[in-house]
Amino acid sequence: MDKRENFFKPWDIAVYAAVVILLACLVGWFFIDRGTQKDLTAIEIYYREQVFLVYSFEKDKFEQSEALGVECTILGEKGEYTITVTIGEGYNKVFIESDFAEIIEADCGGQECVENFPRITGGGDVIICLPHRIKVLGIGRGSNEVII
Amino acid sequence: MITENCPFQRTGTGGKIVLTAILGCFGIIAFMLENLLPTIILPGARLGLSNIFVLLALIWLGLRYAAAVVTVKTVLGSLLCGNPFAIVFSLPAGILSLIVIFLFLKYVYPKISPVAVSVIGAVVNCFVQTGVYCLITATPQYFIYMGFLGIVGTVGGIIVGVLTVTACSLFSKPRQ
Repeated sequence: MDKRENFFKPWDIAVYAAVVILLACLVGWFFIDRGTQKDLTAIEIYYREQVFLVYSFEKDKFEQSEALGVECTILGEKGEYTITVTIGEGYNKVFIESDFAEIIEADCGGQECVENFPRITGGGDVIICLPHRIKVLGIGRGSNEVII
Repeated sequence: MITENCPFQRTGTGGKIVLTAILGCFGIIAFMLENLLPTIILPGARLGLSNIFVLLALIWLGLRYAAAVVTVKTVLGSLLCGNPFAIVFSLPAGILSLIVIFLFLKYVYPKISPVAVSVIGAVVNCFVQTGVYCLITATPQYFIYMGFLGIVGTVGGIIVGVLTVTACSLFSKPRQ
């Protein structure tokens, strides 16, 4: 590389313009999608891609399915619940309130599910705990998902 | 390639291996330091400053040695940070973005600056990493955050590119 290498060259404008257009389209897609699914109607909790618990905000009701190796404890009432999901690899605590859900505690190594994922406040929002293979998914009004 | 005044042009294989190891070590340190900091906006959103050493390895030593730095940095860095799952989506993204950067540096440079090439590599890295993450977790919904991840990646790519060019300028042989 030349000792007097420039940080910017005229053709860089084409590169940056392409990147800006691409990112603008993706950000626009995000806001359009959020607009169609903004109302959170249900929460689904998965273990190894298999849904084992569904909570409906409108009916304030849980539906639990059989899932291998999953123990589920639900504490709380009237729209405020703490769900402890215990699996072979460890546990995750999911907190659900009237309009959001989040993982508040887990014993996984990375703690990404607790510290880094934003709360689920709309349809399509997701929190993933990769070491435990747990996924919490928000279902919105515009979604095709079948809920209880 | 683009190493007109590269100080390591005439370094033997042994010297290149040593330099690869040094760059790999610095890459691991930078990777681990970045993991200590909180992510930006979304999980996995980091500036990727450890890629400075990958880019330097590519410019000074070539593609094979840069691939070794990427592999060492990603595998050992993830294991040392206690997050081995990160290897699954970070390594393919690192390798693929390295190949894209190599092709741009070989065929397009010097029409565009190394900073722009670094930005392209960063965006490719973001896309591949997010795509693999969505595939593995069976969560295509997560791809919708790609725009925000791409913004963080672009800023990181600019910083990495500027620091790499600065480092190359500091280390290049003076013109005779």
